[in-house]
Amino acid sequence: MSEVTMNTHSEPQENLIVKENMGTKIDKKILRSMFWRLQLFQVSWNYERMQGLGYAFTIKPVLEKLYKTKEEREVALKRHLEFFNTHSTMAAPILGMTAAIEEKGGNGAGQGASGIKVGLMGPLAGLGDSILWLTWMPIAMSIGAAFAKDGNFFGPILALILFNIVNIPLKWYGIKVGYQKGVNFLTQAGHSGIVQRYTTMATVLGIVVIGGLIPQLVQLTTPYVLKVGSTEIKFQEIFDGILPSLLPLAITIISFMLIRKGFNAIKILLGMIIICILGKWIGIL
Amino acid sequence: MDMLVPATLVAFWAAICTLDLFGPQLSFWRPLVAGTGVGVILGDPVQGLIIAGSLELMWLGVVSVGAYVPPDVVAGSIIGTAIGILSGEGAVASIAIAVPVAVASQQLDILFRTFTITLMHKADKAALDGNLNKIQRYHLLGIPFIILTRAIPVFLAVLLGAKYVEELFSHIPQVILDGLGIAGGVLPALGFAMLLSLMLNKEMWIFLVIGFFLAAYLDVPTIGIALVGVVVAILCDRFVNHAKDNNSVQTSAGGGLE
Repeated sequence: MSEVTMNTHSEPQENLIVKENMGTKIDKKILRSMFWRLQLFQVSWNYERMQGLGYAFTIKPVLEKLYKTKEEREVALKRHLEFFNTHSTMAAPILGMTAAIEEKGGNGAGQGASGIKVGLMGPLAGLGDSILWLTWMPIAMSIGAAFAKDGNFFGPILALILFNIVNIPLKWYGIKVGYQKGVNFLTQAGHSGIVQRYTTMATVLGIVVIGGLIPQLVQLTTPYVLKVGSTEIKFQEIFDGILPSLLPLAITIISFMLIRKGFNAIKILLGMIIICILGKWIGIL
Repeated sequence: MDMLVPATLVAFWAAICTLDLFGPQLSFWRPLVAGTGVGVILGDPVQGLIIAGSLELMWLGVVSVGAYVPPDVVAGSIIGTAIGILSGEGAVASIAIAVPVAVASQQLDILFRTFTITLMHKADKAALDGNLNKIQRYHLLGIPFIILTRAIPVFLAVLLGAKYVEELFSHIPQVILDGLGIAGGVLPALGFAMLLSLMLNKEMWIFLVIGFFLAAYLDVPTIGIALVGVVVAILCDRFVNHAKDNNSVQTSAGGGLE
């Protein structure tokens, strides 16, 4: 019992501050508005400041509520039009946190808001990429694709449900929890390395799943039969004896090493197509 | 001009999928969903599903990481699927068409992302007046442009492309078509290799072995492998951070006593 209360000792203090602020200016309606705006986050993505304009667009309801004069809005807008780029789902907690800072400190705390944005966009981009783009997306899509290849409509529907069951709550609760818990929420997490830990865990999960997908979805066998006198040597049987799915694994590892060596994926793809055609022509594929 | 209506409908679908890519990212932009939609519109849903599934596996590793703009899978899979269905050549033609289209469309995408810098500068000016509504308008002004970068090529390709592809494929020798068919089975390897190149380091390859073993030897389906993956990830995290966790518990307990 005592250990539990001791472990969470830093939270009550933070909660006090949050309760003081809750519902004063930024209400659920504004948070909800930010959530919907986040659904159009990247439509003005540009090489100069990337999601900079999108950020200002998304946090607009907060600025509208907090700042009434032209001068105040000018100052606030300036910091929210700055360079910004992260995984678009993971922008949610940053938006929530900056909303809390804006509400608490106004333009006087402007540097704090900018600091949070700059400080967290990198780590959260890494987290979003590894959890959503490199792990959950391939899992959801490859399960769906396996059904689709059999002509089953369940495939794309399942993929959409699987992906969004994670994607949508991350956005909504990211904004909500980011706002409620304020700055301490992820800055503390950043210091204790939690973001890094989740990134690593997601990567491990992703690699295990890809390892499993290779034999399931890469299809490569050889019909080649060598005739020595009256005995036939079927190469595929030999390969299966060494390792099931040997050829799919080999082709994946070779592609991986070529990418690591700096080969362009398009070139590897063309190379694969040429090898497949040649292989068919001489009868080994 | 009996292709006018389907071309318009597919272009409209391309607009929706593109908006998804730059907006909510619900996965309508993925080949699996985008391609399936084309199959439904063109009245051959089963063929659409098969092509979409093949393209998805090939492009599993194509995601935007950081500021990198990847080949455009939206235009690639929509045009690829449409041509595959309309020409009657199926998945083989789709893959052959989808790849160059995705690379070409990537250039259009880069053009768009350069053009939007002007929106950014207009927004800077509006900010001087503290004009929030103008900022909103400049942001949303990106939508028609981003939609057109995909919708126009898709419209033209569906309207004009199919018959040329059909003609083209009738001249290609069977051995090349068969080779392309084999390539369709091999190409997912490239998708996985692209994913792994972003994830794998020297200590991580052992996890690849775990997944491979479960599928190749034990025939565990993907969901089961994912569950094992979760367990392995958590155990691995506990193992690596065990010492660190103990320390942090002690220090925070000490802080509480103070």
